[in-house]
Parts: sequence; structure tokens; C-alpha cells
Amino acid sequence: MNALRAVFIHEWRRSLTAGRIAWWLVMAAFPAVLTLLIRTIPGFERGVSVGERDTFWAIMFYALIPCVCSALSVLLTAGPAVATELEQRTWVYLATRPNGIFWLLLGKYFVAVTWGVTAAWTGVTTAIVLSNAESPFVIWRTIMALSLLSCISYSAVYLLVGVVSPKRAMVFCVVYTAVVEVVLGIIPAMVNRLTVQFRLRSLLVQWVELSEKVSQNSSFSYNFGDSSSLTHCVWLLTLTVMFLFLAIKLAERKEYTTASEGDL
Amino acid sequence: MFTTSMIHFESVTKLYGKVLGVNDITLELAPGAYGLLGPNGAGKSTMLNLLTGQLLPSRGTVKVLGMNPRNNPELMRRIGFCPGFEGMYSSISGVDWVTYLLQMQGVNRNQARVKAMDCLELTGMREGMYRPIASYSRGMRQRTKLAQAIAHGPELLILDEPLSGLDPVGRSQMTDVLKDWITMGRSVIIATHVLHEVEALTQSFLLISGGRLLASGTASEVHELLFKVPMEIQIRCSNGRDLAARVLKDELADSARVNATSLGDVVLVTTRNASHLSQQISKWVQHEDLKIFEMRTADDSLQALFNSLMKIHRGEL
Repeated sequence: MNALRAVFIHEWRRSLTAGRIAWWLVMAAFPAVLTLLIRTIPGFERGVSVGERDTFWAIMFYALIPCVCSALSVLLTAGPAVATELEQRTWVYLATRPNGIFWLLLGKYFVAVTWGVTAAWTGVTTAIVLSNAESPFVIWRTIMALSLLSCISYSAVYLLVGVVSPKRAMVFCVVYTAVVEVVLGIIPAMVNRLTVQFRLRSLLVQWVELSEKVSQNSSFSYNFGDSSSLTHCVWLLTLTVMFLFLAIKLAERKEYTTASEGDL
Repeated sequence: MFTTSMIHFESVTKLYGKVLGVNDITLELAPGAYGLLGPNGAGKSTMLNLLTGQLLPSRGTVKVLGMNPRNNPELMRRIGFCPGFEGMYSSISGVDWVTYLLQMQGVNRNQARVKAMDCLELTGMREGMYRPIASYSRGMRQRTKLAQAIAHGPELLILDEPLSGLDPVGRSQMTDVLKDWITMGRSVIIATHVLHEVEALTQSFLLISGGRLLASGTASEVHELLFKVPMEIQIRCSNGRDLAARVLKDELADSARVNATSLGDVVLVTTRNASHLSQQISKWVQHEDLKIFEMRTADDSLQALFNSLMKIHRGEL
């Protein structure tokens, strides 16, 4: 555990750069700024019932925070986890330590999760204060939990993508999100049940009382699973462990040689 | 199967796609100090990467201290590796870097810090250890790299060009550190393309070129091989034609070629006895009207040796 703690602290310190902090601030402020802008739209609240208003804010915060802020925050940290070590040619120093790759990736994973979670939680807390939801606590509690689950799951996904293709990690992470999470996630078939988005959406529907317009709309029904919350959480954790396991095993199998071409 | 062997290579071949890294190497080394000699691109780094488990052989078996080095935590506790390139985080200090790597070995933070400071002091980094690595000279980086390799007290030290970039004082200090290391009965493998760098440390050499192990033996055996290969020396002086005539007349060189440049005459001399030639030139400089501005070997004597060995290997000589 000394090694895990060392990687975690070391990576946190290294990640405290001006650029990274600016990105964190953007992610944390983004929901609040958008909430303010929405509230300034003339006639926004006219004719909207209390239940519909809470549904609107719940879906809005869900789309903004667990889907965008959390995912983007962890993408920046977990995606290039291997690439940064290869570019700086530090990989070999860490890989020649006992279980070095395991501790390195696990440490970076936890750093990604904590970066993402802190940005998301700050974002949801400020945004909910600025919103005019009738049941802010329920929405806040739900989005906080979903942000945490989102960070935990997406960090593992992006770590795996970064291990598979370190050179184009960020690009492939975006492509993965667009193709698998966005497109496959809304396809009405079994395949969408294997996405993180499906589980998060299902949990949102179960944890927040959405208006009948949304919850009973047949066109949305295939996007939510009717299993229990516990089942969805177990699914998410299973996917996370599976992605993490694959990432670590694959990194241990790959040969990330850092010798220059002329120096075989 | 040798149970006491430190390194065991059995028909090891490593291919990078179609490029050959090492080619069918069979090798058995007992614990001790070894110099792995070869020109750039010879396959030295590939061998070291195979030893540290960073690469998997395309064919054959590699054993280090009796174990398969690939993803082997037990072995990683017993070896220390200093790679040839300068990969370190530039924003942190040397002491933080070595502490971090020691923590990766499982050492707790306080102990790691103390050990890191001791090792950096040992490698001559007392003054600079708290500065960011970005501000280090190449020599300081080399010292820091060596410190991280020895900090956890490994049985076997694997060093890739550990003395490159060091000034003469630094070389001497690092050589002393490594000598002490060897005196303690610990093993070391030093890859280099400069023979004299490791002569002070070990008398056992492995010569590798083109991915093949061409020869192995003691320093005198290697020197004997070197002696048979003419060495090129480049001399920039005031009167090139005169110098060329003298070295040929005194049979100090096999050939001499003079090029006139804007910075003076450059004489390219091919000799089989470089030390005798340099002694004679020193006398001429002292007692006669000869000015030498620059004198250096083309640093490819070893390359020439390897080329000859390759030709012998192919049956061309």
C-alpha cells in the first residue's frame, strides 16, 4: 500500500498545474454558469408546474454533470495515464518496481476519480443553489451519487482506452464515448445495457421522481432499466472492476519500449 | 540448468517487427561485474530490456537470478536498473524522485526519504538534490539515475551508459561508487560503447554487435582484438603536411591524409599504436615548432573492431 499511496500523492502533486486547475475550474463552474443563463431566459418558468420544473433540473444536471463534467474531467486524467509516462520516458523506472504497473495504474485511476468527483460535486452544489428546484436536496443527493459512479466507471473505461492506444488516447476516449456511450447507449437492444450511461440513467429515474410526461413516455422507456438500484450499482462496479483489470493486465503484457530507434 | 547463474540466455532472439534486436544469443553468466560492449544499435539496450522484463523474447528463454524477469515482483526487488535515456519528471526534485521510486519498492515515506538522501549524497548530489530536475545538467541527471538504481540495495545492478555525460571528476566519483558496489560482492552489468569507461570496473566483457554476441573475455583479450584493428586519429595542427610526413617516416601510422581547412590543417592518421603516436606528438609539441589545436579519436575504434568481428563471424575474414 506504500506504493499506491506514493503514486496517489505524487500524481496529485504533479497534476496541480495551472492548466489542470483551470480545467477543473471550468468543469466546476460550467453547470452553475449554465444554470444562471437558463434562469435568465425570459418566460422560462411561465406555465411550468413544480414537478416539471424539478424534472427539468434533474435531467439538466444529470446531462451536465455526470455525463459531461465528470466524464471530461476524468478523461483528461485517466486517458493519458500511460502516454504521459511514455512521453516523459519514466515508464521503465516505474515498471521495474515490484508490481509497478499495477500500483501506477491504480494510483492514477484514483487520482482521476478524485479530480473528477471534486469538480462534479463542486459543480452540482453551486448549480443547485442557483436553480429554483422545489426539492433541491433530492436532486443534489442524486446527482452527487451519479457523479461519483460516473467518475468511478469512466475513469476505468478511459484508463483501458489509454492503455490500448497510448499515442491517441484522448481521441480514442472521445470516439469511445461518442460511439459506445452515446450511440450504443440509446439503441433499444441488449447492447445498451452494457454501457455506463444506461445504468446511470436508470438510477436517475429511480432516485428522482420525474414528471409523468417523462417517466411514462414510451419512447423513453427503453432507455431505463427496471432492475433495482442495487443491481444497477453492482453492474457499474462490475464493469469498473472488469475495465480496470483489463487495463492492468494489458499494460503488463504490452512492451512499451522506450529505447530510441537507433539504440536497440 | 545452472542454479548459481546470475543471467541465463538460451537461444534468445528479439524481433521488433522485421528488425532484429538480438539474434540467437546463448549466454550464462555467474554473479560478478560485466561490461556489455557494443556500438550504438548493437542490441545492448534490447538485452537490458530483456533482462529487466520490459521486453519478451520472440524466441528463447531469459532467466535472471534464476527467475523469469517478466512481471516478476520478487525479481524487481532484487535488481536495480539505470536506463540509458534521461527520463525523469522535470518539475520535481531529485530527492523527491528517488524517494518516490523507493516508495514504489514498498519502503515507507520516512525511510525512503532518508535512504534517498543517503544515495544522492553517495553519488555526489548533496548540493543539487533539492533543486528541480529541470535545472540539472546531464551529469547531475546521470548521478540521480544511478542513485535511484542503487537506493533499494539490489543484488544486481543493470546500467545502460551510466557514465555518459559526466565530466572527468564525475566519472571518477561514479567509478568509485561502482567499484565499492562491486567490492561489496554485488553484481553489475554495464552497457557502454566506450571500452575504457568500464575497464576500471571490470575485467569481464561481452562484445555485442548486430544483435549477436561476438566475443567475450577479459580486458586484455579485448585489447588484443583492438590492437589488430587500426585506429583513426584526427589532429588539427599548424603544419599538417609536416606532421603527416613525420608520422609516416617514423612508422607511427599506416596512413596519413591532410585536409586544409579555415581552422588549420586536419591530419587524419590511421595507426595501430595510438599511445606511442600520442607520446611522440607530445615530444614534438614540447621540443619542436609544432602547434596542436585539437586531437581526438574518431571514437569508432570499437566500431571497427565490431565490424572486423562481424566479418569474421560471416566468414569474410
